[in-house]
Amino acid sequence: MKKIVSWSFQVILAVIMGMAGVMKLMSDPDTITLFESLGMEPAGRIVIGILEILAALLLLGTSVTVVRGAFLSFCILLGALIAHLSVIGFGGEMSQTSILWAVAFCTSILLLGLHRKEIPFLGKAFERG
Amino acid sequence: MPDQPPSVSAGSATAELDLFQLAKLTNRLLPAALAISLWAGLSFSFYYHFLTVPLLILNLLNFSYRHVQTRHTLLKNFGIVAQLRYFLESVGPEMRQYLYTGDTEERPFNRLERAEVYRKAKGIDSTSAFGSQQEFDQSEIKLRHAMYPTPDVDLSLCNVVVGASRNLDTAVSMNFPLIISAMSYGALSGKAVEALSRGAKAAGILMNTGEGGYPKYHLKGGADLIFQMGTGKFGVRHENGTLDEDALRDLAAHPNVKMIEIKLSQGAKPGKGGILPGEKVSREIAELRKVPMGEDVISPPGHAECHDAATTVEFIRRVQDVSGLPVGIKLCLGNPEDFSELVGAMVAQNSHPDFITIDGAEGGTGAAPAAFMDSMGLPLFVALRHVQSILVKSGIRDRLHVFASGKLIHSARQIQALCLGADACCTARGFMFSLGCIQALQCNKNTCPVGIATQNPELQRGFDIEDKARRVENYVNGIRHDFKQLVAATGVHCVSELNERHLYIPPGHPVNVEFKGDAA
Repeated sequence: MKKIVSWSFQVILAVIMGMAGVMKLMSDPDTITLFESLGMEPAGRIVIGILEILAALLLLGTSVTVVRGAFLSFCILLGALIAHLSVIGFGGEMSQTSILWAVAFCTSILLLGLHRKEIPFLGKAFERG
Repeated sequence: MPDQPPSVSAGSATAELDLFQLAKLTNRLLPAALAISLWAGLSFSFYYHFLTVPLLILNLLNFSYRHVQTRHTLLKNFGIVAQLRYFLESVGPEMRQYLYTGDTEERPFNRLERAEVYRKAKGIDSTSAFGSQQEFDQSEIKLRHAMYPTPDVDLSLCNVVVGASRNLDTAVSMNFPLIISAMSYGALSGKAVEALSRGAKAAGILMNTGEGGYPKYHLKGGADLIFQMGTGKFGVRHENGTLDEDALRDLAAHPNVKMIEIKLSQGAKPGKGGILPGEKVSREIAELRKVPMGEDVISPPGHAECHDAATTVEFIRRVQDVSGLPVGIKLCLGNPEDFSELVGAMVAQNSHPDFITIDGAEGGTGAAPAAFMDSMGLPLFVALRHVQSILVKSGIRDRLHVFASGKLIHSARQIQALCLGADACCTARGFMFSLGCIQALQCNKNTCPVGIATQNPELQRGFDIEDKARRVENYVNGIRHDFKQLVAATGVHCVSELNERHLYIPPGHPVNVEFKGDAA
């Protein structure tokens, strides 16, 4: 059961992260506008895009890489949260992106929760004893 | 002047690192660093948030350690700095093994002992130089050599024929007194079992299946097998855990199954059963063991059929009659009186097993409670001496064979066991080393890094069955070579001529302790 739930979350998160990464690397005009407003165009867009694709690949890899992919996604989405809160906001043109962000952010947290014992070095704190 | 209690930090105050102060400082610095990074990101460049994100995670983690979790005092008191302890602790075993532990210090097998097996398995010359690394403090048993060594020793002349005293057609002739000790599929990976089986076939020795049920993977390599029947009787059981005679008969009819071993107890956890958790009972394991899939499987501490010495002997005879094969028992000696009683019942019923495997308390296993592993049962050499003495006294010593097991990974210790009364030696961990075991001590965690004691296919990827089978064969050949030389040096022609006179047992050694029933 846990495996099926985990796989569903992995696929959802990998699709969102992968799509976002590909759009950034393909210089989608919307993403360019977004990163211009953050003052990170083009280097920031490319770096984040690469990281998003890497996270998607890790999420679809072996049991060892899933937790790393979820953690990397969580970090990227935390950065996105700061961007939404400080610069770009949640409403208006950003509403669709915000919904995707919220789904991805929650999924990454749930995945990390499911695989908490496999988190390198930190997993120990979640063990009994 | 009143006595002052000695100051803990007296004399070394400047050299000490106060970890509690460091933790306090860290716990204050982390939020400050987060605030600065956030401010820089908002005021100067969004790129600063590449720093904000990890700092935010560290702060969240630190908060949860100090204010949410309640399991770890250290994390609650010190916060994230205490994580350093867990990190160092997690890499400690490897660091000690690689860097700090001396060549003769590790347990259960030190580096020198392991290296000797590796060399044999790889077929490398094992000559050492400039003297022994062992301490000659006269606390260890040594072999005595003869003034005039035997010029030519032909070990093939010393065959051990198990079952000969009962005139069995199925009697088994062992051309070398070494057996791969009980290791089941489940404890070991299918690949490791197959490599052992192939190696055993090539080297011409017997292999014990362990109590893992039908020996599918053991049969893959074509070796001659001793089928082990544990207290759970996996593979030959009714649903209620009693013996299924038809299943045993079918199994015994397999041409590769040469003997049956009834395990009464084992060295690592004598007197204890076990539970195989339901989640580990896969479809394959359920089929091989004849148990329901996905349900907990309980191995009781003893056989349902054996309540005392008399019923145990009856059960042995029943298995002999059903299987038609040589049948033995395996036990770890606790009270010599109990064993004496069992032998008495054998004499009274004029019925005896074809072999008895004596497992020393130093024997290993995948998993056992530490209290059992460390503190229960007699060590092999002490037990062997009692067993030999009781069997000789009862007059049935020449009607059965004694096998010894328990840290017998090297030829010298094996020969010592033979001197103390064993007819053949069994080793499991010796053969695991020959397969490339690095003593990572993770057999019970399914994380064996060399793919031997794990079912994880990713960890088995690097395990090459053909190469490892060759190493198993090399290891046996290396021991065979040593045996020839050691037997020649002791001045006898055959291992069966070895006895206690070929040993130097230091005064005060536990082997010398006799119990009141021992033969004079």
